[in-house]
Amino acid sequence: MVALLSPVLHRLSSPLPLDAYLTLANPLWGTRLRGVIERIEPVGESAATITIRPARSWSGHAPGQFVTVSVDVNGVRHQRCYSITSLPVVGRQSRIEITVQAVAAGVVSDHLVHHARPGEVVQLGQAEGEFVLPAILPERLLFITGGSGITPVMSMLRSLDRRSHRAQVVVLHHAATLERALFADELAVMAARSPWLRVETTHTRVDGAHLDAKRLDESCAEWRDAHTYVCGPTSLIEFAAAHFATAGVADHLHVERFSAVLPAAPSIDHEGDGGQATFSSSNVAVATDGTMSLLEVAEAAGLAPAHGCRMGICHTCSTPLDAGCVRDLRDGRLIESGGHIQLCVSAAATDVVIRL
Amino acid sequence: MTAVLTRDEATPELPEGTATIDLDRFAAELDALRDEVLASRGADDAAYIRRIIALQRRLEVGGRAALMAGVLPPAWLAGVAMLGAAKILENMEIGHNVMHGQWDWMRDAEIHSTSWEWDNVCPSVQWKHTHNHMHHTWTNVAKVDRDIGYGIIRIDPNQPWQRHMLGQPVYFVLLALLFEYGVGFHDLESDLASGEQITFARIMPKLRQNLRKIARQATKDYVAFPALAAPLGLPSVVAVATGNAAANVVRNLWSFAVIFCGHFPDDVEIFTADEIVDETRGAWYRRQILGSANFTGGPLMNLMSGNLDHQIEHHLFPDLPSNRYAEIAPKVREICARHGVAYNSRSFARQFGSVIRKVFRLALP
Repeated sequence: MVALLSPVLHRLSSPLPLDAYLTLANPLWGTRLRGVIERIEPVGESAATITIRPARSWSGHAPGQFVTVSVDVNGVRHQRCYSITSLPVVGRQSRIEITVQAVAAGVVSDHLVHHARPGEVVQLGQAEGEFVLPAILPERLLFITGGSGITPVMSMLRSLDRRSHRAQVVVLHHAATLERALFADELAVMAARSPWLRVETTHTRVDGAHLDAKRLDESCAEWRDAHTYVCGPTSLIEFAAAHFATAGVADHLHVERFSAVLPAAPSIDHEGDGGQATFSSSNVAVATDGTMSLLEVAEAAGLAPAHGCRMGICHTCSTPLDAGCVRDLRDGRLIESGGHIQLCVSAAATDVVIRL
Repeated sequence: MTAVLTRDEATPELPEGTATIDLDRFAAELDALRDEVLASRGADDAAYIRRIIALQRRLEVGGRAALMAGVLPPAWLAGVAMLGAAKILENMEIGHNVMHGQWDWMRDAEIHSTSWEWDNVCPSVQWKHTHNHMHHTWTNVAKVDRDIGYGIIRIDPNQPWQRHMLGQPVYFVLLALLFEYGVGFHDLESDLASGEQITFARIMPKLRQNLRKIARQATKDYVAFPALAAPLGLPSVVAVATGNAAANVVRNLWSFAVIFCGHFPDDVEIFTADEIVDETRGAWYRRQILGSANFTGGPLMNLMSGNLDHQIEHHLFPDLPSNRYAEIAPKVREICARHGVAYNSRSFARQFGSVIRKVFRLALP
């Protein structure tokens, strides 16, 4: 009904969107996709499973897909992607579960695991990602996972567990220690009662064994014939990609890249670092010395960004910083991507991508 | 009751000019104050603006609901009061400050200078040009800062007198009543007064923007909401329309008064373009202070004036969150006192009274 009346209602709410008033009554109403944290279940000491009730505009997910979640930490909005571990449920009962491992210097994971409370409203995106099961299941499935790389696979395994199928499934999971192995109990129970499933977990910090060619042959001799999914640290993905390519079966491999440890805030402690400045909408990239303002850099490159005071007062030159890190020339503060920067008082501190 | 005459108390006898003030040190101390606020900016500030936005929207919904019963005089009055307060909050504590980029650091796309459109006939993009850029960069520089008298009022004796200024007490009252339209056409007026050749093609884009925003605002207040009251009968329709008009006027009068207290009271200095050639950061800070005036008041005054009762702090740091101005004001004042820079703060009545006196006096040659 809201959709039907929206042209009229927008006259009433102008100049604000209707959402501004709808969300007063219920934070999940309105056109922006939001969710409410319903439950936070600790998993060991440094992880938690977060249950989110999404707004009704949530259009569901396929097992293996991820969702972008934005939370406010110390007043600043941060966005991250998390694999959905739960099974898809549509309609009013729809819930999303993500399992988050708190990582060193991880602003968002630390917040979600240790500080978030039920009732907190988060911003969501629709589910995304191609890391999903094929429509017709193959005979053999192999999952190679490391750390929280198990999370997208959990949703797929839970889905397989519910279906009648004839696939043989092997999971080669790698966790630092037993304590840090997510879903260890559930995987053990599922494997014990499912003749189609075999789970091998390696505790890399205990056994010291990372996946190599020999162990792959031992654990899953038929790996060349398996439809394989790999998700985990870069080293694991690189091994699998190279090994499958050498065997000529690179097309059997599905890769989900994520880094458990986000690129840490660059340790830049002297001015004039600079880097390459890419103005993405204009398709221009130039090297900068890190002392010249990005407004001057853009102008020198022949661009004409909107600007005003050239001293950080008026915000006319506010432009989204999509990647990299800039330094505020007035006070030396480093500003990370994900928000707007004032071009006239910002210099590149690393390679930067600016939406200009 | 004597008004606080800070200027006299706080200003040690220093010779005219810049010789005795260490502007670099002055700037460094003010920069340090800015850094202090930046370092402590966080969840509490974000909660503050979200709380004010929620309060503003509830007041607006409440006011509009009350006006639906506006045939009853108490409901009409309550509706006008609530809607007027909501519009004041939206324009002053929220819109003006959001458009300054005070809340951009939260990275909330819904509370952001690049996207905020305010409840005012002035298109935000035009406001950001004349206000954020022209006025805040060139504060009180004669002929550059078009906010000096808004091109209508002679507020400085150095502005040349012309015969039509005899009528300026009348313009003053009209401008107060219709202030949002004055603000609305200010950017266009600045273009027209720029001395460059005016062609229809050049002014059309802005004019169209203006007219479209006016149409949207008028549709809301004078067509859509009155139409909602139609099932209740014609008197209700009239009550809603008049109530909305009254709320707009209430907002106009108050925002006009606050803004005229910012730069036009006694002892606020006007600068010439020559004076600011090669201006250092310290000199820029000093001009912002000497060119602005505060008025005194408590937390309610802070809120309802959009914290522009701390006009000086706002002009020093236009993109710091407004809820911090009151907190840094004593420190700014102390820094000014030590460096011999006059800090103009008096009661609202004193400041506004001096503006009215000037308007009358300068109507004459």
